[in-house]
Amino acid sequence: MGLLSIIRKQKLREKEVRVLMLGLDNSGKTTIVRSLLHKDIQEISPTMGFNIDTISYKGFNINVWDIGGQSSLRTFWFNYFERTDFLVWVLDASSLQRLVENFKEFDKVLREDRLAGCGLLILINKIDIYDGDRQKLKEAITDTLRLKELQNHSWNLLCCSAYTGENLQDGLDWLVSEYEKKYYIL
Amino acid sequence: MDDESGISKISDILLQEIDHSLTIILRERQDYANLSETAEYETFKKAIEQFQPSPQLLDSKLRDFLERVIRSYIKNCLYEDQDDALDTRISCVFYQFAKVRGTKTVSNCLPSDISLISIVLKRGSEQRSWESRFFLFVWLSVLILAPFPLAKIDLHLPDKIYNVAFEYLKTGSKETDAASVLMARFLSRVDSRDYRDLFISEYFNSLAWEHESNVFAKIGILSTINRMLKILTLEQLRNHLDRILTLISNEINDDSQQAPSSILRFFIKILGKLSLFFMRLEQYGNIEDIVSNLLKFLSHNDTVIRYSTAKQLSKIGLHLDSDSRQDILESLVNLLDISFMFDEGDEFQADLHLDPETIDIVSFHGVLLTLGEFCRLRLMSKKWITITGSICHRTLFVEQHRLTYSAGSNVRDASCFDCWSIFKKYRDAEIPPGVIVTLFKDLILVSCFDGDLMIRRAASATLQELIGRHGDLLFRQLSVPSQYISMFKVKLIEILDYTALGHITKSYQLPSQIYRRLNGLMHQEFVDFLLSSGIRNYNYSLRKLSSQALKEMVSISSDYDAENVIMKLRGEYKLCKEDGILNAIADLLSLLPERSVDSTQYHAMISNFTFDFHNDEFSKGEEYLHLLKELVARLGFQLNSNELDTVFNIIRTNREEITDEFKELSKYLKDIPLKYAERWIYYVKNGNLASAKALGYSPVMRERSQEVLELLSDIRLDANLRSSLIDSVSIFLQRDGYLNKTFIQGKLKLIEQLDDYTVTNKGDVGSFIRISSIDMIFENRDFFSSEDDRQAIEMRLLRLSCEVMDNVKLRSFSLLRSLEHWGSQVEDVTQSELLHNPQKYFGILLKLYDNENLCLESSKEFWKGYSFSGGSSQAVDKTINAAVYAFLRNWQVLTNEKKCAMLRIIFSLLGKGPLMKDKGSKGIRYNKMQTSCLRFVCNLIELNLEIPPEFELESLFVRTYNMTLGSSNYLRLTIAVRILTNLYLRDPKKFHGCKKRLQWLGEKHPLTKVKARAFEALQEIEFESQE
Ligand SMILES: Nc1nc2c(ncn2[C@@H]2O[C@H](COP(=O)(O)OP(=O)(O)OP(=O)(O)O)[C@@H](O)[C@H]2O)c(=O)[nH]1
Ligand SMILES: [Mg+2]
Repeated sequence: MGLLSIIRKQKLREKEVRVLMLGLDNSGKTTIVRSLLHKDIQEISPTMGFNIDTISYKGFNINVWDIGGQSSLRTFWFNYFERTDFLVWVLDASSLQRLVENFKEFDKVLREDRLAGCGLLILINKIDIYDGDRQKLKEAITDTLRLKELQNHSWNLLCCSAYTGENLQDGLDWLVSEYEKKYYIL
Repeated sequence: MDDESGISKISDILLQEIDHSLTIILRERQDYANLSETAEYETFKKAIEQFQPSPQLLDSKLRDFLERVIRSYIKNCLYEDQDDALDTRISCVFYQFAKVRGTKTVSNCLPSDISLISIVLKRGSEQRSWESRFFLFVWLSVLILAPFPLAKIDLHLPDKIYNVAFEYLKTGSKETDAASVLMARFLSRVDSRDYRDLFISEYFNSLAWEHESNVFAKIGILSTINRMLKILTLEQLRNHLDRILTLISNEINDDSQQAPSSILRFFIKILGKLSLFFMRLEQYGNIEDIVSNLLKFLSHNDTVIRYSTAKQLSKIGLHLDSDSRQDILESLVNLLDISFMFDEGDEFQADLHLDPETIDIVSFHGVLLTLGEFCRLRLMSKKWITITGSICHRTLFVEQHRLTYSAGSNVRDASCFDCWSIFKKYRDAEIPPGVIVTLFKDLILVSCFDGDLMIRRAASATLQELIGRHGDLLFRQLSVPSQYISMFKVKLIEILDYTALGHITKSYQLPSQIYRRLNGLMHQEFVDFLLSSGIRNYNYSLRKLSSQALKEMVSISSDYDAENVIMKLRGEYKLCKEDGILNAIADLLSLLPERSVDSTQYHAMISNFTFDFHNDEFSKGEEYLHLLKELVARLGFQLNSNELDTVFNIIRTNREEITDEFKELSKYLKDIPLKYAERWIYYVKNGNLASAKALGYSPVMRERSQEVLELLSDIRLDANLRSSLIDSVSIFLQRDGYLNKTFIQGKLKLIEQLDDYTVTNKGDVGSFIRISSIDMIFENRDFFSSEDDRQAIEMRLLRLSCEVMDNVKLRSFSLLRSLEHWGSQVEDVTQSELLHNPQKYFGILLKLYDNENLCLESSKEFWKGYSFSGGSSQAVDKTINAAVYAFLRNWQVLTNEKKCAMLRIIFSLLGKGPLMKDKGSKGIRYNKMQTSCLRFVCNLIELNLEIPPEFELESLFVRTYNMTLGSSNYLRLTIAVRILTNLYLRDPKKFHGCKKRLQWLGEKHPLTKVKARAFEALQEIEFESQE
């Protein structure tokens, strides 16, 4: 009964959820996490490394790994010991010209063995400064990321804003309910 | 982890498979057939078993599946008694779900229909398979949860349920678990009060307990109590709690007998639950009793017990006020044999007194696990985090050395767990920065240097939490400039990679990577650790790895001067001759410029070194040799007689490591006094491998070459030793021996080593010699370059290339190809192709033979070798077939003239030879060759080898006939019988002599077995001629 097996076994009982937060640089990952932790969201500098934070929500400990989106860090995204329950993919609604790059990375990430079967939450962030048609935007992104073709992953797509807090709670609610659906229906 | 992601990927498909299987097993379709149901059940079982690593993945479909199980059972079995097999099969399906996903979870998915209670109960009480009972009990346990008075359904219903549950609670078979669920749920009913009292008062008192000798019954009762404590209310239990506690306390404290782990586990769980009830009742005395009882189990021998205890203690801690919690923590630490000053708890205690060799490993493990649980539940004050940190600072490195193994990895693992919990559960401000920094450094050392892979990984997983959550604080503490902090985090995690940690050699190289990529981070700590403990590690290979790592870390920067480090180690060696120091000094010496140090101090340092080859570890000798080699190589050190004596003492140890070091040393030893040169040769003569293998590097070889040459043909010497000597000659020749007169004159003797076929009870040990000789010639082609040499070698290689042993023949073949003019004759094929396609190989050889105009002698050698592959009893069928079929295929393209010439040569091998009378090994060998050749020929003609009409086949008859004269070699005679038969059948007129000989053999041969063979042959002839 070593540490490594404790890490694995206690996850369920202790309601430990592991979330990997990925997405291109400057999309707002760190701001979202800090906003959820009710921390100051002014003057956040680009994440050159990574941070782990725990958000306690509805009795769950949601351990979020926020990893910098710079391309130099992308090889580093999968170096860890635990299984990932959810991948949260953050997009920037104000920089839609990067959608193709988004798909490229997203697709690569999902090929990772360690993400097999994990839930996917796609957040379209900075919706506060987006003034187009949200529904259309969501459809466009669903198509670009080919979400409908995904197998073995449950997914959800939300527009949100780290600034106003819009939909962030909903995102967490979805994670928790998915988790419960998967593991605690009984 | 890999299992888990494996199942995640395919879970959807598996669920579909299960879905499909169920339609058949549960007879949901009309077209079922009995047979396929059984097969389908196996498919189902295979599918569901794959969910074992992540059973929750079943949940999305579980309810649906189980409802279908119930529906099918109701429809097909519940009211029938015909089909027991179906009943069992459906129950098995249910059991599989329960086994993989847990009884309780599965029971939650069952529908409750109160009207079914009686019939389910009835079936459950009947004689059935245990699977059926298991299923019915669990089902029943759900049905009876209905809030409706059971007695209203049937007055005796409660009695019946109680009795049947009780009966199977005690059997210890697989339905016990279900019976226990049923009982607990039954007893939790509002109207079961009397049964509750009965159950506990009757079975849970010391008298009944002592009386009950059946462990299974006890386990059944305990597991029911444990479940009751989970689902019953305080009110329902109030009157029983004391009784339960008393019984368990008595049992635990009964020194006359120790309960088995299976029972203790329940005691512990029950105590944990009891304490929560007592807490609500504010009966703190009882809680104290429970805690002190539990503390005892932290040093129980069974890990599972310790772990379970740790969890219960921390659960109790969770519900206590902070003062009482403090008390528990203090008693925990008091279990450890360390004098801890709690008053100083606020300060980190870097050098807690703790002797890893004498501590009680088991208690440490138990206590550390509990501390870890406390951390995980955030029950620690800053002071206690500091205390835990102080302990871990030591326990992360605990190792206890026993004769054949070392203990303590569980303590190190639990220490990682403590750190992991602290870093994961506490925020920056809650952990003293000093603790973070110290444990960070410790964990890095553990990740790089722990001998146990699981511990290296555990430490590294802990570091991820530490760096991910407290990285900014940590690196600020370590004075890393803020613009570099992110880079440090990323690089460190990258370096401490899961796979890199998997290889011990790689993980020992991580420090230098950290140094290079992270501005010398931890440089001093690495060096200090390696110096103070790494290079002296109890484990031999870790010692060596440490020494290499130390050398690397010293050489990498100008902060350290190799000479100073060596001086320090020399001083330490003077005080205490620990294993590993000499090795470290030796490795460091290689960093010094040549001849930069006065060597006298080293003579002094090792003057007291002794080696007892009977008792000392080989490693002690190895490091001594290693040191001498570096001293001689770097400092021009001259060995005195004391040192030489020691060297010759050490090399008596037959270990590859010793031989290797001695070889290295020999390369540098220039002047060897006569006395030691003689001793060297004396050692060789007496079979010492190290001295034989190292001789080639030594000037002794030059002086003693004549003796060595003679030793080579001394067949009393062990083949391995002679092969080593040949290796040495080879090295000697390569280094400077082409002008050596003895070997120039003795060349033929060297070449003749290719003919060594010594056989002992270990088999063809001569092959070692042949291989060494081939290699020797290969490495020294220029030395063996005269026309005579070439001929002598080629002739032999032709034979060797056709031999049976793969590694001889392929080596020989490459040597042949490397010789001038042969290379161009041979098509280019890879070694592995040759190895895996023997027929192709023999084909190439035959083509070669065909292209060359070989002299008679060479041709004969070729066929001698070929006969072995084509007919020897050592060759496996695959080889024989390959040789024979390659021959037949090649045969087709030959002219008749060539065919005749070839047959003549082959048959000549069957004739009288000069060696036939030789009683020695050469004669034996020659005889074997003849028998092989005879069999080869026999194989050929039995496969209808087409023989040119002009060929005088009678010669084969004559040779065969002669070979049967006076022979009692059964193998040979049976082959001869086969040949004679074949010849006669080919041409009865021409070969009537064959039949005559067979008749003689059948009647007169002294061996009955031979007679029988000949007789059978005659019958065959009879039979064939009638056709
Ligand atoms: N308008 C608007 N700006 C936002 C929102 N969220 C983040 N930003 C801004 O977007 C910029 C990038 O935010 P970060 O949180 O650093 O982005 P990131 O994804 O962590 O970037 P990397 O760490 O480089 O991968 C910052 O200037 C934020 O203030 C949002 O919801 N609305
Ligand atoms: Mg960021």
